[in-house]
Amino acid sequence: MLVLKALLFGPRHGYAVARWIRDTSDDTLAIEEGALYTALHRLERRRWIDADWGVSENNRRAKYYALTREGRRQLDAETSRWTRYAEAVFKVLRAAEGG
Amino acid sequence: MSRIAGIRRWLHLDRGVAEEIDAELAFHFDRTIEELVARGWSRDAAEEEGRRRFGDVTVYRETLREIAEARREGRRWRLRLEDLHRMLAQAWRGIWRRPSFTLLIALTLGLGIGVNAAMFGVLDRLMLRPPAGIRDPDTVRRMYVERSFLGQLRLSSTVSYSDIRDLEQSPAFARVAAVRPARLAYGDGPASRDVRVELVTPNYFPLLGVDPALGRLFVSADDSTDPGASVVVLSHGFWRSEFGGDPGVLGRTLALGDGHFRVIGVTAPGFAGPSPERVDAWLPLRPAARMMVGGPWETSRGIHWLEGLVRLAPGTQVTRAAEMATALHRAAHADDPRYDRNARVLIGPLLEARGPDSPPEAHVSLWIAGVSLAVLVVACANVANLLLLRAIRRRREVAVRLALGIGRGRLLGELLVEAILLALVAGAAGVVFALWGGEAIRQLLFPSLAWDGSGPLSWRLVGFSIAISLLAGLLAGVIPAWLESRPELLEALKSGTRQSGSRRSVLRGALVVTQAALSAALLVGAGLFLLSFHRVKSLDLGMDPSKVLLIAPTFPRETKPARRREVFALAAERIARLPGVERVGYSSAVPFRSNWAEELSVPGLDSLPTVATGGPYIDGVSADYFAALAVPMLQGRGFSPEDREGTARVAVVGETMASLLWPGQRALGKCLRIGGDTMPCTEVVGVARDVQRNSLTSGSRMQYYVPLTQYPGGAAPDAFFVRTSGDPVGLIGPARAALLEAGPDIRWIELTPMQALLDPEFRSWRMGATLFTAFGGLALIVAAIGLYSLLSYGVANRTPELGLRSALGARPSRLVALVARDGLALVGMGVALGVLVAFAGSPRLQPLLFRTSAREAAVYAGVGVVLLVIAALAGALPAWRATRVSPLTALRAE
Repeated sequence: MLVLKALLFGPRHGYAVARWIRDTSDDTLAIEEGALYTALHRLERRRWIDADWGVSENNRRAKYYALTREGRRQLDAETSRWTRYAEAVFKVLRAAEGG
Repeated sequence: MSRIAGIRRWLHLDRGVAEEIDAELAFHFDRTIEELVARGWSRDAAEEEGRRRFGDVTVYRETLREIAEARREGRRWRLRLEDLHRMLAQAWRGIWRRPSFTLLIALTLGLGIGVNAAMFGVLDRLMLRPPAGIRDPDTVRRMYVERSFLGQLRLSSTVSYSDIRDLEQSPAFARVAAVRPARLAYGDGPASRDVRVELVTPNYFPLLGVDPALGRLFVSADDSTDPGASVVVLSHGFWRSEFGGDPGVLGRTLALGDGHFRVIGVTAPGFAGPSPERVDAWLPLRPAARMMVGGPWETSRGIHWLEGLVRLAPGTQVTRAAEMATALHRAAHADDPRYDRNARVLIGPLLEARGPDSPPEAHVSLWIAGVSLAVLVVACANVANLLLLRAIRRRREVAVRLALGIGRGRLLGELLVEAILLALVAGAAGVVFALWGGEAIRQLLFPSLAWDGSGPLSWRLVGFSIAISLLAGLLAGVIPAWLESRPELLEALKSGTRQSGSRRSVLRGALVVTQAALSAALLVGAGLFLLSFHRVKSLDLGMDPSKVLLIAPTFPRETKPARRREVFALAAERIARLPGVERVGYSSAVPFRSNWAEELSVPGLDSLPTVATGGPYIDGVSADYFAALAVPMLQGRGFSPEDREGTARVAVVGETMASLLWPGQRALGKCLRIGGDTMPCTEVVGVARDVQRNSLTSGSRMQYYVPLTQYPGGAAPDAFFVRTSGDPVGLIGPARAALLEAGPDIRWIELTPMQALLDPEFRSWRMGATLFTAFGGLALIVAAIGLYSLLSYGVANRTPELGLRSALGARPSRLVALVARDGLALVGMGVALGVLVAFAGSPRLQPLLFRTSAREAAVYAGVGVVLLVIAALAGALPAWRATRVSPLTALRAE
């Protein structure tokens, strides 16, 4: 889901996705980058993301990943599910505090 | 995603999965190291950090490769499907670009497919699919007895009760049941109508594995002669149509035949008896048997009136079962010296049409199915012709596409897909035709078949239609498609048509010849059947059964003949007074049903002549009998009310009997001693026209009549024959009432138009004549269209040549002859071929014909003339167009 989110703002290559996750999660969600590529390739196979070779910022050939329409739908669905779950957990925690 | 990207990715994949992954990972590591170095890491430390962040490179690389492999596999399929989809879409657009062309093909092929689907529907019901609702129908079989009787080998499916019970002793049969189909009047008064019932032994339902949907089925206690216990089981279909599926029907009493029966159950849905004919209700055998047969039917081996059904024990071979049954049958008849010692029991299939004694309808149906296949072949030939025409027209376009690099295989595929798509469109039209046509065929030929099991549009029918459409598409499409993908061959074909006819398109000509040949063969068949049907129809029955109502009452068995004669006389008077009644006669024997014979001696003759049809047969008749059935008197007189008991004994003889007994002499005044040579003389007072009384096809027989009142020993009348001025069916209600007034103790009355007795006799010929004609006509139309299109095209291609000829002074009639000659030559060839085919097949058709040789020259000649005339007509229009070709146009076309 994080991978999908990383692609929300446009196509990126694998390294950029890794960078983005590292930066936004402040290293707390450190995952092995190999696992990240596995995830990317799996998502591509499921057709949630689309991959194509392009030219990178420093003029090198790189494989770019982009969200497909199906992937975007999937992201929306998962986001709302996660939000609901998180809210529920949050509520429980607050109730525990209040009591 | 764009097509280009797709192709590029395709190329990447082809370059190797591993390389691509390595390139991606290499980029990742380079960037990681670059960035770390930029932040002040040493290069070694950066490399170390990059590997740490990534994890085990070897493992991940392997995983990625697996994912890519799997993806590639999936994509390959997807691409293939996409490709097919594209081809289909393209073909779909293609065929509707020329809707008239497509519609012509859909119509032609659709008719061909439709008749096949319709016939499949009939055959499926008659011969292929076991009747619905029977558990494990393969092990349910029918019993037949084959024995020689009066020097002739006879196969019969009706046997005596004891013959069926014999089989119970054999372990080969898990269950044995006796069945008697019958038709009974249902309801009271004018609203009554016929229903089909089966009288069955209690193990009938367990044998077939049928469960009740409601209530219960028969138990042994139901099969009792106690009149208070009469019960009936209804079929699910009858229950739904008559009672709207009301569960309250249980316990209600229905008037069936002469009795009243309490409803105890309804069978499971779908089941409508063990034969293709629908059954509405079932009655236990024993109580119902009393009204159908007299005598000791349970013990006598001479009363053949039941059909035997068996369920084979698990693992029993049919041949073994038949052997055991035969042994039991012979042992049971061992004490009867007259019985054939070599009699055999056959254990035939449940479907009678596939059994050893299959009805003529089954044979005719098979023929018609063959005929409908021929129609389809004709249609396919026509479509192939049209596709070929189009191929020739499109050859430039195809040449360009080939030059642009499209593969021949791909092109061939596209063309085949197109042909098959066309055939499927035609198949859809065919299913519509089949639904119409199938319904018409069913109404016309098998009004009583049970179709409600699955409805007319079954999945089997649709599946068959699709299969045959695909086949037809391939058949019609493969040669044109192959040729179209090789324009150089087409060029040769095409130029062949242009070169003033010396090297005409052999292929297209062959298609027309095939069509003409098949049409000719079918039309010969149609002609033969039409002739047979006509001869059967116009067969002089010696009487006129139209507008005659047959009324056959059943009295309680103990009723004396004298009492029966009284009731008949009284009822005849009453019925005669009903409006619309012209004459009322009655007799002791019913044509096509019963025969009586008495010992007879004729003074001057040592012995009576013998004829194949047997006899002489006697019939005791009322005075108005001859008038009611319109049997003409050839000499002398018929009977009058004055010919009664106590007056001079008189007789009327049939013409065959008169000429056999007294050849060359006057029969009037001759003496018959009925009952033996000690009996007094009965004087012949009239000679009547011979009446067909056994079947339509048997020859004339010896028959004589006496007044019923003078019948030696006294005979009971059996049935009325009421001649009406209008439709005899309208008289059913009033006649029934009048009869019941005269004889309140009558238990059961059968009222049928006399024609209905004869209809089954006509059925196979009517079927053959109707369907052969319809299909033959269809084939003819299709063939004519094919010929027309061929000749038109020929004219179009020969425009320059014809124009030139006309410019050089050829007269129009000469040009017409030139064009028409081509068509006539092809059709002539086809007719010759078709006649040969028909001639070769004629011995097989012969048994289905009536007094018509299967090689009747007139039919063959007529078909030849009809086809040539049609060919001339089909050629006339293009030929006329040929005369209009102006030399100028011709040269321009060049």
